[in-house]
Amino acid sequence: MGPASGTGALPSQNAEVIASIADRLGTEPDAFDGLGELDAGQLWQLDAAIGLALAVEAKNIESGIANALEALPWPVRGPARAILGESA
Amino acid sequence: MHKGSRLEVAKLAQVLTVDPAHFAFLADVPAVTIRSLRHEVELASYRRHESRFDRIAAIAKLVPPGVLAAIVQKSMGPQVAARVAGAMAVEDAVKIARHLDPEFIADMAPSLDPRRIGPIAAQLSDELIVEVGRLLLRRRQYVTAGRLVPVITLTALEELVGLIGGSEILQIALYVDDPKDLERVVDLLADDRLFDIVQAAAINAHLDEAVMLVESLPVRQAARIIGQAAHQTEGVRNIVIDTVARNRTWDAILPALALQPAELLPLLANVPATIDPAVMAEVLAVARKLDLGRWLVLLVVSLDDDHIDALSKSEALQDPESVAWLIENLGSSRRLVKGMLRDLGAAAV
Repeated sequence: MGPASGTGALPSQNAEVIASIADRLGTEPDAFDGLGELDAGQLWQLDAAIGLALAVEAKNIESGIANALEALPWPVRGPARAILGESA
Repeated sequence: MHKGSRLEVAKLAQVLTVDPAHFAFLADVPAVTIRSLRHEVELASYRRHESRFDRIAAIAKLVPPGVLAAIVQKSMGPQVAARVAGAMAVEDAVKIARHLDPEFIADMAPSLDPRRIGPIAAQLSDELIVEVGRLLLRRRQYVTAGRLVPVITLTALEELVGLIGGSEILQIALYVDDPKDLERVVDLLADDRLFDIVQAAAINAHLDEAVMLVESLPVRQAARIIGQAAHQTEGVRNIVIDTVARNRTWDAILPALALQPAELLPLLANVPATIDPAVMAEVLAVARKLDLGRWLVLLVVSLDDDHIDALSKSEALQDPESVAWLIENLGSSRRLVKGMLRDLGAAAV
């Protein structure tokens, strides 16, 4: 998490956070030009929320897939693991 | 605050599963930027996990749909199931969805990407869609319901709309992304429902957003809604017109006003919000821009004394160019128009 809101953010800090958001989302910073007027604290808040949402989703995906694999009938569990590229 | 930003903040907050209040500061960011951010967040999940989703989708071919549906519900969780659904072959997803509990589909709904699941929803029964819709409404998940309107068939939409009141319809309409989908909803609504919606918008302080929605509709639909505004109490009529004036949306509203029967015009024109020379000047300027001169005659003759006074004080009547335009374009004899303008204290007549 970055600095708190109202710290007199420099434009370069904004560019840095916007680049971080774009990087998390796998896109280019140009897509978020309109965010440039926010202060760095607000941008950090946004970046953190996106980061958290993506991390929670990634964790849900890991556990969801693992649970679903375990619940598959045993004859298809092996082929399913093979499809997923995991060891049986 | 930017137009429409508050609604976009609510949609983004839903995608990120945070309280919209957390992002209140985004109200000063253009709606288009927030929408773009939301779309990127939705896409990011697929970008990061696409190959895994594709592989899981391939597993669906190894297991009977009923068995897989039971596993998905019990073990996978609604968020992941929603993401995988967006990556599956349509026929596989449809077979599984038919075995899922509507409650589970409703749990999945906030994570479904309407752009990906449209072909799947199109093959599900209206009965299932309506049941899921009912559950979303019971849970007051209006943002989700609004986002999913594009994938709901007209008959299912009609049934769902019939189940709810004006306030709920408005809540859903506010979160519909594409104006074309909003048009589908408005076409399903009888005039008495539109009356309820206008009333609900005024009572619940959603008029800024509602006027923005009206702006995005074709003029025939906007005219139906404005017509229902005319039948409201004076208090509501005043709030509606004041909202139009504050948001400076006369460009969209005047053509709809121009389609109203003459007897409704006084109800919409003679409200406290328009006893304002600046508002009168803006209406005249927009009418001129839209070439609504003939309709202006109807408007002027519908004004009461207080509003005539406001009109006579408007700057438009002191601008020789505007006055010349009025003389040429009101569609009445020049002598008559000049007499009227002189009586209003217009300059250079």
